[in-house]
Amino acid sequence: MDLNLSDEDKNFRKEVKDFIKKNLSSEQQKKIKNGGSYTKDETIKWQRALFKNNWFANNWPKTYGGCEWSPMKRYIFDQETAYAYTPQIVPFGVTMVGPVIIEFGTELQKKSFLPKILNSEHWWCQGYSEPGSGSDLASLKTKAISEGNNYIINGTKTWTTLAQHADWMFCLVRTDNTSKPQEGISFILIDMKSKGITVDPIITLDESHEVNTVYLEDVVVPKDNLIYQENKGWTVAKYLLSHERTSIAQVARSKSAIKKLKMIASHEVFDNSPLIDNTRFRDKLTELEMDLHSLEYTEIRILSEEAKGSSPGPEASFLKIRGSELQQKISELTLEAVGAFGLIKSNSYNQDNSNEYFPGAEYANNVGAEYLNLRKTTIYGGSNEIQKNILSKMVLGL
Amino acid sequence: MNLTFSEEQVLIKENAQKFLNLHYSFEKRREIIEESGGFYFKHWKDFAELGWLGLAFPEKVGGYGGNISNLMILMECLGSNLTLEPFTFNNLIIGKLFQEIQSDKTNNFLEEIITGKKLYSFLFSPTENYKNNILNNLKIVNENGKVFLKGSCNCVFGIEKFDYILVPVLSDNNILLYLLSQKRNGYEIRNFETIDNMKCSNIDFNSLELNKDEIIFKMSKADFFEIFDYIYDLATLSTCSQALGIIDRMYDLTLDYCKTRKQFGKSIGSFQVIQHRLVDMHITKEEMRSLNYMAQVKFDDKIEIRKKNISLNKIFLGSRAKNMAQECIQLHGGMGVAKEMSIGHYFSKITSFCTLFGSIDYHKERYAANDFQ
Repeated sequence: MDLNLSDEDKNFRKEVKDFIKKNLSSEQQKKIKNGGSYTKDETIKWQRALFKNNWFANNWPKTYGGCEWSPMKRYIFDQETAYAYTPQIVPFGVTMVGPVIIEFGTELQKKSFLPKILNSEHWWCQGYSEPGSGSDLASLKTKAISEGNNYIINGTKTWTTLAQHADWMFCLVRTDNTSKPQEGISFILIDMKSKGITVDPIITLDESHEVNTVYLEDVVVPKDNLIYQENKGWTVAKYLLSHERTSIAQVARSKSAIKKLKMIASHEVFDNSPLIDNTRFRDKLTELEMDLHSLEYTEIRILSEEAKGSSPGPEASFLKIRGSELQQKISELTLEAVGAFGLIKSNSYNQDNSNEYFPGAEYANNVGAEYLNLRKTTIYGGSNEIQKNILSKMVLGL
Repeated sequence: MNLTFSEEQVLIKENAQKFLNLHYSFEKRREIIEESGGFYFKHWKDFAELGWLGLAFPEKVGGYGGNISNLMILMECLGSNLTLEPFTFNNLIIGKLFQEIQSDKTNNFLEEIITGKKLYSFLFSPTENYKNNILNNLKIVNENGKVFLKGSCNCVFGIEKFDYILVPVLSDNNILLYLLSQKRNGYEIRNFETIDNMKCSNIDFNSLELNKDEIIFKMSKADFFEIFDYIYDLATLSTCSQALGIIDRMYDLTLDYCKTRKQFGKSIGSFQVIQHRLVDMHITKEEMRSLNYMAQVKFDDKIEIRKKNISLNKIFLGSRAKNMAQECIQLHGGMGVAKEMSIGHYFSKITSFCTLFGSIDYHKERYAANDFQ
């Protein structure tokens, strides 16, 4: 048991730092640090730079253009990019549907989709949740009816993240109504330019536009776009879930957020002294750091197991639970730290803001919006209630 | 001993609910936000006609009684419907100041406040630093025999619109209260929208020349803060009462959602884990109400008792009630974070109320400081 990085890992950390310096301007980093967000173009540019360096598909096998990083390398990369406020890789293509196509896709599917995921030509989104099917995903109703070489698809998908930018959607649809819910589902790839698709924005509490409702009305999808077998979509979805778990705890982002919180607390004043010297505040900060470290070392333990060859099991659910709670708690204390300025709408967090500029310190700019925005973390990706159901069933055997 | 409503109070509540449900439904509120361009005084005249603008003030100054509990019943109703008018700032704080000062002129001002004829503001930032801000932000500067007001204040609420603004300035250990017309030159206001549809403003005085007759009162620092602390506490309690109305409404919405939202073939409210969380919420909202009533009945008790009780209410709001509001969002799932649903608007308001009139840490300090006197 030790935490020393090998020389190779040390070198890698330096390489990541150099890469960031070369591919991201300090103005861009500052913008994000103070609450801005990257545009679609900036994100794609970043992803392409990673791809050029052969660092993009870090969870794919080398034969498909991946780089097969060790868990430790992935950990280092996540940490350095979070500290540097780089764009976050959009997970739907490279992290989620990519490994699925590699595992289950036909040669033709691999040839037509994988290269375009790698070079970020295709932006993907995930068509899972429906208005009536959230936690109970298997009850989904979007229907695909077989007609010759095509499926005709009708239904509604919701909470579809960044669908407004998407070229393709991987989608769970019902192909059989007669069997058990899980057994009548298929996993299919849909071209977002198809006739009959409407994307409606859902504006969230922080007034940003991240999620959408996607209406599918008589959408014609070739059967060639079916992944694996008809009615075996649940198997595919479960496989995907095991790949979604990478860095689900968001430890690196939380570390970086705590660093920012400490900086803020050393500038803010409480009772004529720096806020960070106030015992009540420090106690809360200490508790967050305790939560962060216990989470971080749990993640390292799971990564170490993974490095030995075992794949992450349902234990990873607890990374999601504690990781999402921690993100929320940090944003809550940050809001406390900046006081009334945290209530003023950010002028850079979203595009259509009524405030001309932000009157307080730069670091307070996104704090209120961030607190509202992060309410989603305990709800999305399988709500924390569902994660607890998984744990009690799969780990505790209840 | 009696902690139930009188007939008069039941009537205040019913009338308020009737008006607000008609004119301040979630839909109507959305229309006001869209139409008003961010300046929310649409129903101010109605508030006057309903007698609400006079509820905080005794009859001898033209008000309708000044009974704390009557006022808090109204505040709770205003919270329940998320009214947009800055009542606390443009009625309560400024009106109470005029009432407490009691000079010849102030009764006229009060009359204009109660009838809604004129809009008055007090220059004040509702944060825990309010004392320092009042003492340090503005200065009187003598230049060539003339007197100028200089300085700036940020995070001021209730000054997006006014006919007159009351400005406190420190001068030789005294607080001078200047009443300035909106038409005066030499100042600049910038308004910023908040996450809960209020306006938070910066005001700069660069070359505003003061006239002697604009001073409506002068008193020692100590006297001023004795009066103002009382008003600060009243405003804090009225914020907690609005929050109580909000928490009650969030509970109703969440309970209703859990009864109707179906997953796994049944309502999510039929799962025991959800039931227990809803029961905790039920207890929390009742505890919050009990603390609120306690602060009402002891409001005019000794100063330290008043301060302790107000602080307890604010601490409860910043901890238990805040957590409960978060739970309400969580149980709504994705719908909880969608702007089209009302639950999120209640959440934003609670978030704002947790911050205004002092953080939880400030009130813990304040409670402790008043505990052993």
